[in-house]
Amino acid sequence: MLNEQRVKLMTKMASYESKEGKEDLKISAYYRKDYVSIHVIWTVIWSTVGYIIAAAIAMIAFWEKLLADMNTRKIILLAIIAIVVYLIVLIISGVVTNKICKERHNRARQRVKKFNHDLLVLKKMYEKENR
Amino acid sequence: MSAIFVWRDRLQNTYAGYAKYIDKTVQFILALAAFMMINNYFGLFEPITKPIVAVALAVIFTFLPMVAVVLAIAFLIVIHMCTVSMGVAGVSAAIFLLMFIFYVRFSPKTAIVILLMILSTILKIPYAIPIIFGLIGAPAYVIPIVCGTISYFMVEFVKNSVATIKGADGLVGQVTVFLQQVFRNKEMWIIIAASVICLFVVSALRKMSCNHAWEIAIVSGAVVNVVTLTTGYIALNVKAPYAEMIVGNIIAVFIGLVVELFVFTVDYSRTENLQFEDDEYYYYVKAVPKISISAPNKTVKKINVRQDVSEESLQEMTSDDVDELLLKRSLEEEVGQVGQVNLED
Repeated sequence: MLNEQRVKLMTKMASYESKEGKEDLKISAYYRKDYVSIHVIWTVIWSTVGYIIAAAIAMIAFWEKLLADMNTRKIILLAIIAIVVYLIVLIISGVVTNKICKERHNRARQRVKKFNHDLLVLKKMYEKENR
Repeated sequence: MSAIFVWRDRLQNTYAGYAKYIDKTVQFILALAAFMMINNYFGLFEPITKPIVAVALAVIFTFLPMVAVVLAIAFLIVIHMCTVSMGVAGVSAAIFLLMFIFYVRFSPKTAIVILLMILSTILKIPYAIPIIFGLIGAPAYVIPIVCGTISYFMVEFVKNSVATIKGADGLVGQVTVFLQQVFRNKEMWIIIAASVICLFVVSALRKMSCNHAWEIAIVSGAVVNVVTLTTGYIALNVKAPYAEMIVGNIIAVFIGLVVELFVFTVDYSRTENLQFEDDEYYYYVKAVPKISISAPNKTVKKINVRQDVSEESLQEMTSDDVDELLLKRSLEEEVGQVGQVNLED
């Protein structure tokens, strides 16, 4: 005999598992610190690649101005500016990634907690029916 | 007016029943429109401008995530640019890669806004996107809107300046001309400034607790758009398409009102202001009920006029016909009326 409440609960859980649950279960398998660290490392790598591309584009765009009156002092100044901007880009992208990943992990954990709670409720329903 | 809400509820119920198929159909239509518009607007690489190519690509990308459509459009733009200059195509690909690294990677689902911004600017209604996403999104949508605007002006410059690019001195010269002309384009920066300010204004105003906040936000967004654009065009001495700007903003307001109809329709006349407290806080709550009108269900009951039947015709009738006739007579006796039609709501 079908238990309507159980079927509703199972439908809700199956729907969650097939949509958000796939990503949530992967995320919640990590500790928050590990999840955030992995993503910050990837962001540092991607940001470095992106910065090199942006710097190359800027150099090509201002090629003539850069070549005009080129001397050692100018080269050192440009290098310092490049390093400072790189560090700023790294810090900003690291902070933003940190915030986004923490929020994502928290929300995934909340949803997975609710899913685990529903699993317990389902288990109790089965136990009650089998008595 | 209630007919509009009835139709809205019917559409929502239809969508609820067939969401999977409708989503894929909309994705196919959007992908097809995007590929055809880019091919027609650009049209530099002829083998891929044929409609069959756009249809085939749209069919393939219907079964992939929406972000794949956005990446395909970027790839298509780069292919068109290859016919003009490999350097320009390379730099454009690098700019798209930067957009991917610093934005799409974090939020792939909102990459569609970049595509919508390009398509709406081709259709001369770029003002609609900041208003729509100010209503349903967050201030963070400013990033894809800026990316979409820059992408459009890259495409527009290459389309309009093929001879200038090809006439430049070497690959580096071509790239320098492209970068300088695109990023020094005053009209582009004016549109970006207007879109950013419009998005922030709409996003802030629609969250107000006053009545008709969404309508105020939509109209304010359009007004801010017009004022910012006009000020920018005059200050930077750029030739302004005033008629296009005003018509575009009127269309944007209309689209915003349609979005409001589907997303946020409330009845301000039945607003309740509540006040209560718990151990920690006093609560001042304003509750505004949503408008929901169900479609009326009509049922029609027909009771036929009693027919006199002779004995000879009775003998000719089959047993089923006799049963039906007897049932009709008994119903007529119970109801006591003949030929009545009832409408039930």
